[in-house]
Amino acid sequence: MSDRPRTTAERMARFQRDQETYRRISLARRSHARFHRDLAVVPHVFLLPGRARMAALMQPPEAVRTALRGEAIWTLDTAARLLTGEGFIASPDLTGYLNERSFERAVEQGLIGTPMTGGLTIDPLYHRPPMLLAHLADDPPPSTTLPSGDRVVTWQFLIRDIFGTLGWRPDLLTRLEASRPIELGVAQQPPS
Amino acid sequence: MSQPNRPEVLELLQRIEASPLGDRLILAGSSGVYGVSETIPALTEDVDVLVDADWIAAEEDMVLEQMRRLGFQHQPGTPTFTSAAGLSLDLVGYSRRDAADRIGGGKTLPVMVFADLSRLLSLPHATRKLPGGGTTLSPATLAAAKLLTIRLEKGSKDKLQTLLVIAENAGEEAFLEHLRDLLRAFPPDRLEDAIADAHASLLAVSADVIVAGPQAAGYAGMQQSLERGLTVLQALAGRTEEHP
Repeated sequence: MSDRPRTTAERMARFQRDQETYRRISLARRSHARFHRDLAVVPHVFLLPGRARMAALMQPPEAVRTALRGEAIWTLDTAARLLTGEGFIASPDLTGYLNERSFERAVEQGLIGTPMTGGLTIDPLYHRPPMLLAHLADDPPPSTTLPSGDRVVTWQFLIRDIFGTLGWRPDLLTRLEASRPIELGVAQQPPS
Repeated sequence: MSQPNRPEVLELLQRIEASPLGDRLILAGSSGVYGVSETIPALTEDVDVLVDADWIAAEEDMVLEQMRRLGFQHQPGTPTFTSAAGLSLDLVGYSRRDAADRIGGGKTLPVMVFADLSRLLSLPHATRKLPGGGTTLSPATLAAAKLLTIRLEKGSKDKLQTLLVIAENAGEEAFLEHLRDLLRAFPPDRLEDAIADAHASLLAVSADVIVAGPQAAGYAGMQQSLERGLTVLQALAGRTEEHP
């Protein structure tokens, strides 16, 4: 790489290249009908360092979920499965908000193993045992209680969490919204 | 090149103002952050100053001579000046006679002229005087300029600095009013893309935070400021939560 500063002509050529690329990015964004609507979302970072914890499930996911029922507020893939019957992540983890005491109790009761210090991701590129990914929150996010007793984040917060964890995923969000349950009183009616 | 620090940049602006160049050179770009905030990181290795490209065309020889007297050597064919101490200063052009992206300035000292900057500099309250001397972009103008900057390689930094400047000034009604007026001067699709870019930049920081780990405590406060800046920007641009 040269230390020579770029000439003005070289800068102009680079700027024009960037403008053209940017124009294509802009067109691609607008090819999604939800682009304008999603501009209003403030992404929420579920995997916030200092707040996020990860530990391997020591019992089947269903048993851990049941044991934490009423305490955990599920989000991301776990909330999507509870709300729509379908998830969007291959890894069979549980993802939710807990307070610190509930998380410690889950360790003490053998629901989960020792919290891990690295590898914090909801979408690993390698095979790993099922995990509990918890965001320890003093101030819990807005939630809804399902007939089963499970608590899930509100739909709006789920969108914020997905956005803040996976980035803007218009196809995923559209698919998810299409399967949003009407009986919860939060679904958009399909077009007639 | 050496990374400039805030006192060094502000001292340079004072020397420029005391020279025949006067207030013609306006502190901007990432180094413009030095002019509007004592806390936001400028994250830059050079100093950008805005200049009227048509004035450069008319006064090229004088500018080159005065920069030489200030201790800067011109790099031929570029808008860049370097000092023996390793400081690099770039001239960035605007124009009062048109708003087009083009090459302007003189034959020896060609500068890029940016349409967006030309538009912003034509609007009221674009600049302000620095307390110690020199001229800088006003906070709202700097935020708008960085928000609308198009560049692929450092675009994230521009948007993050925008959000941090907005967050830092969010309690100032005059700032919010000014920024709202500036944003209205641009087509809606430009703002839409800028907000989408801001989204992506915020997520890039989140990813960086995750990689950096819990020892990088400085990120937590920054993340909050970025979210606050984004929320204010969305409100100013008329983009508030629409998801039911």
